[in-house]
Amino acid sequence: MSLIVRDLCVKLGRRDVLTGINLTARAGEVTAIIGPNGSGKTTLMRAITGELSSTGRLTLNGRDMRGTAASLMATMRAVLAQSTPLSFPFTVAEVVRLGAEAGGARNTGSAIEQSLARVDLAGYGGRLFQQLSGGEQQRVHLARVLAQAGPAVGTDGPRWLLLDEPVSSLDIGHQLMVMRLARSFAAEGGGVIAVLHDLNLTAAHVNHVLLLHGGRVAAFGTPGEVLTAPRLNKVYGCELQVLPLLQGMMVAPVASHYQDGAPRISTGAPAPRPGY
Amino acid sequence: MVAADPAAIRIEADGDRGGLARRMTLVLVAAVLTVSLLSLGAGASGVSLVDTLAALSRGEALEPSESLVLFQIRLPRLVMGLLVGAALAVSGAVMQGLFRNPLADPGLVGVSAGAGLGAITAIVLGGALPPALAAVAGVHLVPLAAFVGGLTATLVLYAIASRHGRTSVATMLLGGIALAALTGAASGLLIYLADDSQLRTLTFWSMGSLAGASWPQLIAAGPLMMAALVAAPFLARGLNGLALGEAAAFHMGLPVERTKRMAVLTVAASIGAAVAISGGIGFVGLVVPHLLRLATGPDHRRLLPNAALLGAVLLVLADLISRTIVAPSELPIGIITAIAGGPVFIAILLRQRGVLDL
Repeated sequence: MSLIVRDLCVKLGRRDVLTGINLTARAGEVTAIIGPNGSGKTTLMRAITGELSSTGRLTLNGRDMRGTAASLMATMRAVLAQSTPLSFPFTVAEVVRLGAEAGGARNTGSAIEQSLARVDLAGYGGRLFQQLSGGEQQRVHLARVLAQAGPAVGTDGPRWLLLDEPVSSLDIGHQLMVMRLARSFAAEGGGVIAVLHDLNLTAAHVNHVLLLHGGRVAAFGTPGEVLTAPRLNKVYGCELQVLPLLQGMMVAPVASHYQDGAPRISTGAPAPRPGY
Repeated sequence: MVAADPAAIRIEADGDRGGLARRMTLVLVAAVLTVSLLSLGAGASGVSLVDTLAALSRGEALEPSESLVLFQIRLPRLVMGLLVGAALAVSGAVMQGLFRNPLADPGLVGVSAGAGLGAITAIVLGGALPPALAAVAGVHLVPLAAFVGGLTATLVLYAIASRHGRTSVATMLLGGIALAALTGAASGLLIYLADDSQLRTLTFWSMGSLAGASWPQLIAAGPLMMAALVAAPFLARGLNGLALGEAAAFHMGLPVERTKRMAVLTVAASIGAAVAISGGIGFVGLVVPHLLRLATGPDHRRLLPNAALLGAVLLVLADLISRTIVAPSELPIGIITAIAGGPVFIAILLRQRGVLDL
């Protein structure tokens, strides 16, 4: 079961924003979409969710997404947008309830409680959403999305989480919590696609990466295959080094005093292991 | 009163205000019955409901004058007050849900003015209709014209204020002011053209009162208001989703476009009909949903029915005050609703500035 994007193009006005995008994301994996500002990450996400009109093929669990009713799609995938405004004084529980009802949860009460606990907001149900901090609000919306998705695998196949910058206003602890949530959802058989900015979170937590550049696919593969210093330097237009760690790797900027001064580190070659 | 109940506080702690809202519904139903009896029993003529009921229970026939006062004057007035109050409050709540803003009152943003222009057009130019068409439209002509006027104003306003699923509050309020000014100018032009008998009709209509309530009027405008009140509950889920923006509502599988279309029709029908028979009664659509959101939360599944009940209660109460406070004369009901509504409007404004946290 997978989410398949074939030859996807998006035009906004007369401008081609995305051209010839191909992506196969498998259930049971976390797939990241990365790329510089304006490379089309959010546009791709909005095309996949059906919010933007696009050409090309979009299939989810073998079903043509464009021909599927919105109410049915809501039971197959849940979407976390980059920002979600809220107009009225809803409590946290009432916001999460909207998701639970959209996903057809049988016991909305326990779905709300469990989702809040998973984003580290147990006991926040009675608080007013508008009085929470930005990071807490982002986690409430994530809880709403989790409540909508329900179990990672439903009777009709795997469920999908489509997350656009799910960690953008979170502290490092909660960033890791969200990545762990995504991984465990995938480990239980669900599918996750997340737009990410943090290359180290990407390197450490996802199975496959789609790197976008100027509305086209620059690379697709495992983090080890995609996140190479020459490619990142070209796409992001800056000097980065990719350091191997005991487990995985780490992407770090080349400090400017090294660039200006004498002891310059080659960005292409592997750097010495830390601790040496 | 409701909050003092320990069970209610426990429900608050997990953020579920459904039980609170259900209790509010019961309280409001009782309030509707109470104000209805009060309203039937009070008035300039001195006919007392208690005496009348006592007479009826003894099997005595009513005096013709008593029967006239009760069944041809007070009862239609009561029914009209209940219907207009419910229609104004529900359309306020629906409109605020549609625009995702608590300030979107049909009276403030030009929808009532648009409905008024429709009504004035029908009164002044209705005579120019082909007789056959006029006969078909009959008593429904003015409410239907007001409906079309309100619909047009709502559509224009939404087109002005909404972009990519987000509504700009400033644009909405300023656009509403411009819309009200334009429709006001057109209405003024029509009034200038009107002859003497049309002017008399217009003057009575524009006073904004339930004083002229009669069964034929109710037959003319009642169905539109009833249709809107019946349709409103079907909007609740869609409006709840729209509170998170159009994109999130779509992601949650809600019928966004259908909700928007139905909401516009509902508002136009209820405001059109209410304006056609009662003139412009302001602030009910602003105050009622706001108070209920504070008390029991913004979930439209509870908000819409409770708004209908509270709107009915408040308008009948305002009408009762307007016709008893200076009896045997009457104050225009719009003065009463404005005295109650103005401060609430200012409180919402202050709250949006973050100065006053209600």
